[in-house]
Amino acid sequence: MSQHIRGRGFRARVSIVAFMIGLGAFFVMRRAYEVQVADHEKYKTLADEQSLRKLRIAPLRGSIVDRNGTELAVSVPVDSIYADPRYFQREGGDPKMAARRLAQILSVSEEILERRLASEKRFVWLERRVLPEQAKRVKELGLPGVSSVEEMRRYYPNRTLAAHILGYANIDGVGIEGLELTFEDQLRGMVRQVPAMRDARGRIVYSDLFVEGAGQAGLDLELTIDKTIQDIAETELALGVQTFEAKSGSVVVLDPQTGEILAMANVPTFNPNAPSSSVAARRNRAITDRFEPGSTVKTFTIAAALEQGTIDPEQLFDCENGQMRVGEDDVIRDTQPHSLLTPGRILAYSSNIGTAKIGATLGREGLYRAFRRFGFGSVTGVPLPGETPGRLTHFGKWYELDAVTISFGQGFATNTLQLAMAMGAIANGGRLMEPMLVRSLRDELGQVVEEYLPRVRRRVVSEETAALVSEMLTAVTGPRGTAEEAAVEGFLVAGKTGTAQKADERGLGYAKNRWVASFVGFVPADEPRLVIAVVVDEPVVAYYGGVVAGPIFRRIAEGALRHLGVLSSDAGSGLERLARAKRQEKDTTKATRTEAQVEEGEPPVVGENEAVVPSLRGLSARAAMRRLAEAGLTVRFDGFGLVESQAPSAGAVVRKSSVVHVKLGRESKPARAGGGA
Amino acid sequence: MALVRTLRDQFDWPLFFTVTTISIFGVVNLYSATIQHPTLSGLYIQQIYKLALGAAVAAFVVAIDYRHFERHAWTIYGGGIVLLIVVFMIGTTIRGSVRWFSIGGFTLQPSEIVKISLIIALAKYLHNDPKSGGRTLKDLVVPGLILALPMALILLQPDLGTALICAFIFGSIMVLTNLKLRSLFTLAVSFLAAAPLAWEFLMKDYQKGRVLALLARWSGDTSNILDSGWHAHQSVIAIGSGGLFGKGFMRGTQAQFGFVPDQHSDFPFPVWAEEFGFVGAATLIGLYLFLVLWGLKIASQAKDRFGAVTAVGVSALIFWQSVINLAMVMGLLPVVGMTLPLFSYGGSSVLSTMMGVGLLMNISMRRFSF
Repeated sequence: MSQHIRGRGFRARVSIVAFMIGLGAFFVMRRAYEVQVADHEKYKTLADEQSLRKLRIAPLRGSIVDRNGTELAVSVPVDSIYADPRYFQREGGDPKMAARRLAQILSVSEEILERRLASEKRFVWLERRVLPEQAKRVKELGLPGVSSVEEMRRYYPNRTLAAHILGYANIDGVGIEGLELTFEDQLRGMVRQVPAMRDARGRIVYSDLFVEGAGQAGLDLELTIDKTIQDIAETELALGVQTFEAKSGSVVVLDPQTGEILAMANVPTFNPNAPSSSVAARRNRAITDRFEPGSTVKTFTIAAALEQGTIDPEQLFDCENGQMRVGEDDVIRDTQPHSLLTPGRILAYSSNIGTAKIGATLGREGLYRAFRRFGFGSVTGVPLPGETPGRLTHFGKWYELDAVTISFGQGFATNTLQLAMAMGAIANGGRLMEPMLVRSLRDELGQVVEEYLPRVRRRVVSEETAALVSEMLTAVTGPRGTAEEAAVEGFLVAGKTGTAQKADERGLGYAKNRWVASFVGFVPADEPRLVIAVVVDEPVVAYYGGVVAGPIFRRIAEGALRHLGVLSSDAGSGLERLARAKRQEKDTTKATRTEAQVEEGEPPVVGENEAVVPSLRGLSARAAMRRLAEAGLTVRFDGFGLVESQAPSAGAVVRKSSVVHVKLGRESKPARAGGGA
Repeated sequence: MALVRTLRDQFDWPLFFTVTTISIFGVVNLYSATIQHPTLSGLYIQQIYKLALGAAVAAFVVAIDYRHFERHAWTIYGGGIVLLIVVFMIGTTIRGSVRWFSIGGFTLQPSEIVKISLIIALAKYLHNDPKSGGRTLKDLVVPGLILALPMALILLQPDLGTALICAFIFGSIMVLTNLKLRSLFTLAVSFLAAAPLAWEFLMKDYQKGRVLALLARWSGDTSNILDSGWHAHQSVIAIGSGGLFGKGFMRGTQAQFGFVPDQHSDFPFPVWAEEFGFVGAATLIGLYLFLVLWGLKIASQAKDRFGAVTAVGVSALIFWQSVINLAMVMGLLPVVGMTLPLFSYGGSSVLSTMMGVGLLMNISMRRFSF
């Protein structure tokens, strides 16, 4: 019956159909084999290409903190917006529309956004480092293939503070300048190359299956810098450079006992949060710029001679009344004629001739070696990029004049830090320290990984010599020294001014009106806590080291000592202070000045006529100086800003070329909290 | 007692195990394909419920002697047609197509159910009209009309994939039931002649695009892989990158990271093939092959013509759906909306397949009874 029901050929047909079904299954199977086994590599590559990413998991970059733990450079997570244009287009996104909406949120222009969204790429940044609010709003747009990723942004919370020391890191978090560059390896931490997965929307997909650990955070840098002192140094230097209309300037503040750099400031400066300003502003002049130091190095010539015993502290040197012939054609001069002077007086009066004679006692090789020992002509080794060793040619190559002038600071070059370190050796009893900028490296947990300790490079002079020279240097800021302006009330200051004509750029001797004014000193002189070197390049309003750099030194010293809680040696002795103030007033009212008050480099006195002191009240420093110059008088400034008072007062008849003391107020300048002790 | 013993002895265990295995594989695969998805992650649970419901319906179908279906075949067929008309009135439009309507929280796709009612109607017609001398084209007019009515309604929705399956089921049944070779030949030629017309009038632009994409891919042109060919391209990459043994459960990058589209509906096989490799893929293909051949075996052993034709129809349904879906995901055919029976997520598809399986079981178990 069944045969009848199903028909004769049914079984046969079923067999044929079964065969054909088998054939169909075979084709499907063969295709699976072809794709999965034969061509597997090809498809695996395709799959990996679109999903596998070698992801650089950037670890948290280490912070940079000052000696008190204040953060100077930190990394903070920020959102960056990116797009997968191909996915965006595939999902039917309209670049023009999307760009218009994105442009309302982001700070990138509509045209640029549209071009990026319309590209053929699989990844474009739309904007990096956006605000959390912006990222949120972009997310809310729900555009296909547009997403955000967390990146680390380097942030310098104090803006320009210590900019030249810190340097900066670029948008990818790589150190470009300063400590960020020097300590790049330590700050960066371990970058992990992790095979990460990316999904079809182009988002990075993290999965426990693929990522076994995050990157290791970078080490934190603890600096020797004191943020407060750094701030004081920067403020005072900026005001000084502004007041004297100088081209640039730099300051280094050291702890002479350890060689720790407490502050290093430069003008002009820049904001490392947006380091797009000029290269000139980014240069850390304190170490990269070399200059002829001038008289400041007389300190070291005399110290070396005393150390070698080639001179006696009480020995008298004939200063040839201000002029001395060298060789056939050359003459060296003092600004004021002197006859017989002790080494101490030579330093106090800053006699070139006296110093040259003392230098000569050492011999060329002796002088060269002494300067080398003080660190001139070789890098200090501060961990910052771009340090200049200065220039101190081998004594074998010196011309006859070089051998003479190098002793008083002409014919060789140094940088501000070198100068500070050398002065530090006088301050601390004769040891040249290694400059320290970094105290320690710490890991995430605050554990010290590496600690840097003060290191003595070498002993340069004996303690006795150092003490002797220190004492001599205190005379400089005394009532009749070359840098009264550097005197800090209540403290004994040791230091030396420098006023050096700049070498002509064309190499033809010295430029007429371009000067480097400097002051290098330490305080308190009897128990030094701070070495401060101030160098001001090409001041216009005045150019004497004492006048230009002295006040900057004083104000930094005042602020820093107060911050450090260093007590004045005669604090509370109100009577004595009063007496000193009176004494200073008396000094300044003196119409005529002795040679001691006149800096080297001062134009020679012409004529014996008298002059009437003009009224300067309310004038700018520059205008006051011009007016005094017209009257044939010279000027000494104290403070910054506009003229507040003057001595002698307007209308007084004085001898021509007399010095008029001008006190400047700060009305025109941003005031910084001062306060008296 | 006798009935229970009879049921146990005659229960078609190979059919049961094959269907169960495919269903379990499907749920496992669905879990991997959707668990990471924000909105689809609960889908595998839903599928388990639907399979259970389907199994209950299949049990119900098995319990009733299939000759009752034969007796009420026209009613069943008419019911299917009514459903297809009702869907136009109360149906939900999804992506421009009216295919579904909701009854008490369930979404039903009538065209899925209609596949079964069409098979029953064709079996009924052929049961009463054996034409043991061979069937000519003229003899195809009535069954052709039986096909044409629901197929036209389905095309109106429009749902080209399901309509095509109906046509393939019809063709398969006719080929197996005494269609003359000459008629077969004529039929084939007219199909070829109708293809350009269908291209012109029936196919939508996106459908044409997919066909063109396929043709381009066959000729080695990869320029369109970002638009119309994107889905197929990603699917083939998924399958190919799986290799011999696969990347491991839940470890397929193509699947897990969303490169493979519609992983729960039309593209579950690439997920499976990527994670379980050629070994897994061949196993699954083998299961389908076995299921279809087993269905044919049931057909050839059926005790009456209605049973035989019904079994052929169900086998054809499973065969064509799986072979088209597999060929599609492997890049051999253009992308058409076609689920893989029992493996894809979907209540209506599970329901109709389970009804079919119930019919196969019914026919298989009653081949000796009179």
